Amino acid sequence: MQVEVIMPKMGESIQEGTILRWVKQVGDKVNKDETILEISTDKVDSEIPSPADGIISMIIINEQDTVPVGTIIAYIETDRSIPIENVLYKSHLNRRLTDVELQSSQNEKLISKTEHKLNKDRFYSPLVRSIIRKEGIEQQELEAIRGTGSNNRVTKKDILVYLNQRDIQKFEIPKAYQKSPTRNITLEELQKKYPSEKYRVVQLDNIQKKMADHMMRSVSISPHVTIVEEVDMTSIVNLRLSILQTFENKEGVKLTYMPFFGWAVVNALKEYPIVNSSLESDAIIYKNYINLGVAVASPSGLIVPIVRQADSKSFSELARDIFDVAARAKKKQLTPNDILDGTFSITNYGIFGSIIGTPIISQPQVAILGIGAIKKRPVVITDTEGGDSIQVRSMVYLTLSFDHRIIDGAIGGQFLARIRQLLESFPKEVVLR
Amino acid sequence: MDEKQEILLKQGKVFFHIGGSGHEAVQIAAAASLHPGSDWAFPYYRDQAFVLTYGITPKELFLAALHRAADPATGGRQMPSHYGKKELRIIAQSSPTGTQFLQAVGVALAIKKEKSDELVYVSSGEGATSEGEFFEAVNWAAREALPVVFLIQDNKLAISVPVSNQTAGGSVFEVTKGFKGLERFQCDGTDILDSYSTFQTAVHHCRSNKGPVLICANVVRLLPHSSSDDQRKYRKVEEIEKDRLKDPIPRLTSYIIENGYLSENQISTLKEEIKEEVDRAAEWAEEHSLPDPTTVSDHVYGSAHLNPPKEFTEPNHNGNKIVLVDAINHALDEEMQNNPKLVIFGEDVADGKGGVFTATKGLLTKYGNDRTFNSPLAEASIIGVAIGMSIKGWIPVPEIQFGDYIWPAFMQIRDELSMMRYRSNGAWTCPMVIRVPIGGYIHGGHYHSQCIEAFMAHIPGLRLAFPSNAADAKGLLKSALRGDDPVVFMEHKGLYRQGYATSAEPDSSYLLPFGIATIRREGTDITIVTYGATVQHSLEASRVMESQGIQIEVIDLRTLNPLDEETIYRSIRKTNKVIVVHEDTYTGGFGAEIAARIAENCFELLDAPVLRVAALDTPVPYSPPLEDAMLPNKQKILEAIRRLIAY
Repeated sequence: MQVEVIMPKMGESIQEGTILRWVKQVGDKVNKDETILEISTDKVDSEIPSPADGIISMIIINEQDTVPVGTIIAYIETDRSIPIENVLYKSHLNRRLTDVELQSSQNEKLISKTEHKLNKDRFYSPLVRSIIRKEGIEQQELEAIRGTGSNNRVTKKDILVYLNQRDIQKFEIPKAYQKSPTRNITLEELQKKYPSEKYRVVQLDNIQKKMADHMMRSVSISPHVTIVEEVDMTSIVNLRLSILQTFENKEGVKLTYMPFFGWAVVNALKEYPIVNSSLESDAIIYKNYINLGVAVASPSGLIVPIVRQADSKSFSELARDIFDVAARAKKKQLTPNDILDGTFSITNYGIFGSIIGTPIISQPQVAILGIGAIKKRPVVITDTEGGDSIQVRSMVYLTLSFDHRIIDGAIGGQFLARIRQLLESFPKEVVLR
Repeated sequence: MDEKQEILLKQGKVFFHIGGSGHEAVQIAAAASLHPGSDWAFPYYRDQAFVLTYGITPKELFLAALHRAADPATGGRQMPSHYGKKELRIIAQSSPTGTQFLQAVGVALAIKKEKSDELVYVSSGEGATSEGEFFEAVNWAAREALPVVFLIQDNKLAISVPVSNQTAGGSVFEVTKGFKGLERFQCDGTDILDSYSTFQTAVHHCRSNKGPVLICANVVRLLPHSSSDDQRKYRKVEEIEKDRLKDPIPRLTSYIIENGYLSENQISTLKEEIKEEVDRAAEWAEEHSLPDPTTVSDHVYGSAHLNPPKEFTEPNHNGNKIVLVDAINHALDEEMQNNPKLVIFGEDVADGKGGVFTATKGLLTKYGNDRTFNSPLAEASIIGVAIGMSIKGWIPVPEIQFGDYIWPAFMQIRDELSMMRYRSNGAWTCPMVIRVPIGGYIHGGHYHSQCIEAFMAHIPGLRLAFPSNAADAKGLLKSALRGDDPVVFMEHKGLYRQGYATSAEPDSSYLLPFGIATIRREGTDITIVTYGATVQHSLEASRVMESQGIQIEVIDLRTLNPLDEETIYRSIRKTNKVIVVHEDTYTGGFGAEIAARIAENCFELLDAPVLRVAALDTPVPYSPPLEDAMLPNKQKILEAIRRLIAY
């Protein structure tokens, strides 16, 4: 029996993966779960285990090639009674078939397999065809469109609804970017253009490329609005200093400011669930869990590992988990699972001294909190009698970039204000419990 | 002339020729007895000697034979031997011989109304008298004592069929005995003197307002029927040789020599001169240019209905509410007032009946018997006579009582009326408006319910109106009556007095141009293209769908020729789904034409197949349950709409 090896889907925003290296070659015996290749998908490099015991009968996708997730990249023959020669011969015969399948499998990212099969041969009216041509809709994109007409036909309405969404939420990399001339120029050409006496040309590695693509995509999908709040951190600064050593002794991790912000964010998100949602098609998807993404500067670039179920974690658990994922990110030890399914992200550029930033949303989330450097500043304090005085306080600027498609300024402002309130009146018992 | 044309034919320069050899004497006698340019001539295809004597030149005949652009008869549009020349009042002739008789009667009727001393010559072989239209023509001419000279050139053969197989008793002269008021003559058509004296008497009789004359001339056919025929297949050589003894040219030659008018030498010199002239004429004609292919569509239509205005704003009509049949009546009344040449006739159109649907009520009383009169119960007569009157400059408005009965006139409509302008290269035109009640939903059965538009739409040269309400009917009819094309004006009997087809009456200045469809109801989801009675059914179905949130756009075409394609396509650009609805039967209905054009022009705009809702392909039955099952209705339109929505 032939078992398919498929480019795995490593996260909901991930569309494609690159084969870095085939560890096993055609004809090699492999055991189930034995690593057969290494891939690089958006943000994560990963080793892919064999889905079955058998012999690699065919490798379809070569090293350094990038294919959409779901693509069949190899076959494993599980029947050991078939002589190796025959296995290879058979797989050769399958070549034509798999080419077809290769194409069709590219379409599976948005639809189930059965639906895909139904859609593959369906009829498109002349009108729909002319719209497809005019709008440059790709085959796989087309087959993903749900048809409400007879026999799943894509009606005029279906394609117009789709286009309307596509305009708003274009999952593909924008065409202008995709086709940008610099992308098509080879490294050799660039090196020629920028001679080494005066320039140094370094090709982006896979993760850098992914980052570039992801940033571009996010900006094109979501209309970003960024707002800024000023938060008085003095009591938290004092609290942290007072329990720093105790906490490290007890929990085994150093107490940073991140768990404080994480705790405030989680509690504010519970009150403003739309900030924890995502937008898909023309529906808002609310999540009854909070997976908190924490942006980390890793050796290979920016990465956003996830603290899962952050809403059900205590302060100390948050602190431990944040520390753990950050540490593993820096050591390149993250698994695909560590970056999947984030629902909201925090990025702390304050550690580099910046006081205000305008972060880019990590798709398909709808908001991101940016944390600036905590600095002492003279602040006007009004006492209970209404008297004003100038005091030196530890202040931080928090910025919230949100997706204005579904979050308006009022919700964004209220959410950020709630974070400020939670931080400024942080209850000590949360830490000491 | 015959010989030269035979030579050109064998050289591949000419494709057809009909010889008149054996007929020359009586033809020359006829032409010599008439006044070219004043009298009107309907010569048939064997009348070469007639037209040469009447004034058409050998050069012009060769232009026709060689299908040159400068040919005054047809400009290369018709085969040779189809004579015509406007200056001489020779009306462009056609091939379906027998159709010319009623047209001649129509011209004579106009002459009588104009009280001039012109007369009409019409000829044929004896074979064409077997056509019923011959007897209809003789009947009408005799009944009204019209100035028509019928010349029947009896060569005893219709192609290969002898006269004994055509005519009772083998004699047209005998057969026509019973027509009171018809003066009949017989002569030896190969004898110029006998022929001439007969014609002198006959023409004098006719010009003295004593009624029509019929001259049966016995002639011989020395050549085959045409260049496509070989008479040795059906005639004995001895028989042909026997006929050759009667050849009028040698007979006249002997007569001239015997009486010392010319010597043999002079005759042979004359013959050489004639041959020389004929050869020169052929060479001269050959130097002329062939027709320009880009002119192929010229002269199908006149200019009046050619280019509908791009912008037409419907005025608000504020007259009294009128039913459709009264709108017709008022339009006729206003236009009769406006144009003294407008004349109405047909079965039962005269007062007191005033038409079986009262469309012409009161017009005789108001305008007199000269301008509104009953015709015989003969549809070919009605249209054939109308063609003649139109040629003479009148605007006839013939009424065919029911569309179901128009078929005897179909030959006149299809082969004569619609083609006159084209076949004469624009020289002769036949503006007229044929009013014809059509349509079902009235329990009228097979023969009072038919729709005829698909047959008519297939004919180039005809304009077609099919109004759905009183205001449109009035505006379109008035436009039609001021146009320069023949119009078949279809009036739906079921709408004549229908409440929803009533309108505030447009004033007498209102003219609705042909070729402007109207959107009866705007919508975004499906377009219905329709006309006539099914406009209402479509609107009713649309109202049902509106309650379900489906917006249907209903286009009322109003005229089918010209067809307002742009309005259809503009709507489809919006809705992308279309249903064509009409009352006529499905197969080959006009909807097929609309659907095909939509497919051709809007293919990439279509989000569903083009559907048609039409009558079943059966005759229209009488009993209401059967009639309901056969004709389209709101329910059937709704089914089509639902099919498109689900698609």
